[in-house]
Amino acid sequence: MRTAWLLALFVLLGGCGPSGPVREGPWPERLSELAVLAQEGGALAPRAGYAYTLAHPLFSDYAWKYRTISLPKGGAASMVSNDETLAFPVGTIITKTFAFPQGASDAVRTVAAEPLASPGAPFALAGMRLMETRVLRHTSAGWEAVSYQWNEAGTEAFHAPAGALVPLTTEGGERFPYLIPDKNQCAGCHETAMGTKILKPIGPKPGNLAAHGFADEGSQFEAWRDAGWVASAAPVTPWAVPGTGSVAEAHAYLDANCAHCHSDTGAADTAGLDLRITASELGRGRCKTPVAAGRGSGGRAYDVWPGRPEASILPFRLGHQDPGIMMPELGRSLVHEEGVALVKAWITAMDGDCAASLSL
Amino acid sequence: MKAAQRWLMGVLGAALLSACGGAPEPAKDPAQALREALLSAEPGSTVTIPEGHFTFDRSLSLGVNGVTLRGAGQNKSILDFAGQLAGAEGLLVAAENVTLEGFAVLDAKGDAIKMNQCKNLVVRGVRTEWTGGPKSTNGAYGLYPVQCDGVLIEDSIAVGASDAGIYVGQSTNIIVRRNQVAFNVAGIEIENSTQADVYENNVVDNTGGILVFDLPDLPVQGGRQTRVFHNIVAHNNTANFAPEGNIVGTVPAGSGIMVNSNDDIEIFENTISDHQTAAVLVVSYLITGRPLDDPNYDPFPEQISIHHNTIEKSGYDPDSEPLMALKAAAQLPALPAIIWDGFVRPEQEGPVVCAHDNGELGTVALDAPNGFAAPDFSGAAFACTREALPPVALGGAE
Repeated sequence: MRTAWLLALFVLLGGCGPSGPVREGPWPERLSELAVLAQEGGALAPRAGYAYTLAHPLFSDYAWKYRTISLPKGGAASMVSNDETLAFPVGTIITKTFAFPQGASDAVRTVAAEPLASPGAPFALAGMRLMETRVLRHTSAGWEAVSYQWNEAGTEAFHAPAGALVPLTTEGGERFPYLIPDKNQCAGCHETAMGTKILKPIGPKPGNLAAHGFADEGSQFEAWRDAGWVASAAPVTPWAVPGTGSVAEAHAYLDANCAHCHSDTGAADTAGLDLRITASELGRGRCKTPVAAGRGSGGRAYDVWPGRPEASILPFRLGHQDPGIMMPELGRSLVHEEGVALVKAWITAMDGDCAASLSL
Repeated sequence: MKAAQRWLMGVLGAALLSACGGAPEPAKDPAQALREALLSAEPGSTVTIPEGHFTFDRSLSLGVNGVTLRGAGQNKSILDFAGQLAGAEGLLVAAENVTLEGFAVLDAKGDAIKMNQCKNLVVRGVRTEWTGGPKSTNGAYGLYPVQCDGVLIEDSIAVGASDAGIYVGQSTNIIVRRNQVAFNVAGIEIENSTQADVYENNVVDNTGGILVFDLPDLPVQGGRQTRVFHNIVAHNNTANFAPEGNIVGTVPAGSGIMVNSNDDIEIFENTISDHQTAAVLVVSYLITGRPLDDPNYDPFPEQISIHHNTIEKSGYDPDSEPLMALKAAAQLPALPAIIWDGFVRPEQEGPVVCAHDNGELGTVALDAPNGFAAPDFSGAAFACTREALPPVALGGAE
C-alpha cells in the first residue's frame, strides 16, 4: 500500500528517469539519469542503442568491458576509412563499463573477458565488481568525455570528473591502483590531434569492428551496415584474426593500445614513433633511437631491434609498472602479459638488424 | 590547521550542504581541491595554490587556455609526488596562454612539469626537484615544454633531473633566463628548437651545463638561432647519471656548453669555469656513431660563434676516451677550452666555428672524421667572426 502510494507520487512528479538519453546539456549526477544503460535481472543492457565489441581492445588491467552505442533517432555513422574511427552524428552516446570478476576474499580476477554471445546479449553482473562507466557524448559543441564511478554495491554510478585511484588486489596477492581517469585524462587519449581540443572516439574503427566480435555472429560491421547504423557501401577489411599471434595482430594491438598518442598528430608525436595500423616498420620504431625516453629507455638502444625483443625499448616499457617508465602512460597498472608476448613475438620474427655500436 | 579546526570546518561544511539539500560531504583535502580547481577552471581565470605541502598519488593536469596557476612561492607551495602511483608526469599542461608561478613540484616519477603544444607559456619562480640527489631513478625532465611557440622560463629552479633540468624541445621563440639549475645530467637543453635566448642563468654541478642540440628522427628539425650569453656556467662535473640509451647519456661529464649539430649559435660573454672535459664543445651527431637514416636531417653544426667568454680551468681530466688519449699524446696538462670535432660537409669551404676573445686557454679541432689523426691546436680552424644574432622577442611576455 505504502509502496503504491510512493509509486503514484513518483509518477506524478514525472519520476527521475527522463524519457530518453541525455544527449545535450550538463552531465547528470547519476549514470541512471543519463538513460543509456539499464540494470535489470542481474545484468547490464543498453536502455538505448546496442552493445558492440572490438576485435583488438585496449588493455585496462584485465578489466572486462561492456561497450554500448546509442545513435540519435534516424542517425547513422559514416565511414572515414577502414582504419579510422567512424564519424558518428551529433547525439551519439558511447559507453564503456569496466568490471572485474570477483575472486576470493575481495580479490579481483585478472583473466581475459568472456566474449558476449551477441549484440543483444546483456552483460551478466553476477560475481562481477563494477568499477566505472566511461561515457563519450557527441553534443552540438563536440565530443565530451567523463567517467561515472560505481558505488561498492554496484547499484549506481556517479559523475566523477576528478577520477579516482581505487586500490585493488589480484588473486595472486598483487596490490595495484585501478585508475578511473579524470576528465583531462580522458582528453589525454581522446584528443587524437593534440592541441585541437577536439575529442573523438578511438575504438570503433571498421577494421577493428569487422572481425567476429560475438561468439555466434558474423562480422559486426556487416550487421551495423545491414541495420542502417553505418551509411557506407565501402568494403571493410579486418585488421587481424585475434588470438593467432600473427604480425598483423601485433600491429592491431599496437594501434588499439598506443596509436591514440603515437600517431602523426597525437600527444606523443614529439617522439616520432607511429604505431597506427597504417604505419611503416620504420615508423613503428625499427632501429629508432630514443629521444626523450628518460628512464623509459631501460638502457636499450632502439625502440625495436629486429630479432632482439630483450634489447628493444617497446616491450620493455609495455612490460614495466613504474609510472615513469611504463607505456601506455595511463590506464594500466598491471602488465598485459599476453600483449607483451605478442609484441615480442613480432619483434623476434622480424628480419634484419640495427647497428651494434653506439659509443661516443 | 589544527585538527580541531579542520573538524569544525568539516562539520560546518556538512551542515551547510545539508541545509541546501545536498548530501553531507566530508571537507575536501587541499590536494583534491586543487585537482578539481584545475579541472573546472574557466578560461582566463587564476587558480591559486595555498601555502603548504601537498601530496599526490596521481598526475595533475591543466587543459584550459589562459589559466594562471599561482602558488605562494617556490618554497612555500609544495606539490609532492613521491607517492605517485599513476601518470607519467607531476603536472601536465596542454593549453595555450598558461602561466605557472610560485610553486614546486617534487619527486615526480616521470617528468616534473610537461607542457605539450603550448603557446605563450610563462613559467616564473617554479621549482622542480628530485630531493634524493642526482640518481638515474629520478625523472627525466624538470621543466619540459615541447612543441611550443612562445616560451618564457625565468627565476625558476631545476634540480636532479636524470635528463635535463630545463628542456625546451621542438619549440620556437624561447627565453630561458635567471634560473638556478644544478645536479641534472643536462642543466639547460634547447633541442630541435628555433630562436632561443638563454641568459643570466646560474648553471652549476650538472654533467653538462647548457646543451644546444639538433637530433634526427623527430617531427620538428632544423634547430637554429640560439644565443647563450651572460650565464654563469661552473663546475658541471657531476658524473653522467642518465639511464643508458638516452642521447644525453653520451655527454661527457665536465662539459660547460655543448652544441650538437645546430646552426646559427652565438655563445658570448659567459663565465665558464672549472670543467674537466671542455668549456665549450661543438660536435656533430656523427660523432655519436649512431646510425643516421633520416634524409631530412643536417648533422653538421654550422655558423657557430663563440666570443668574449671568460673561461677558467678546463680540460684537465676529460671524460672521454678519445680526448683522454689526445691529452696524453699531446703531453698537455689540460686540453684547450674550446673543442670542435671537425665534421664538415664534403663541399664545405672556410670555417664553421668562429672563436675569438675567449682568453688564453685555446682551441682544438679534433679531426674526428679521420680517427683523430691530425688534431689542430693552431686556432686556424676557428679564425673568423660572425655578425651578432638578433634577440628573441616574445611579444610582451618578457
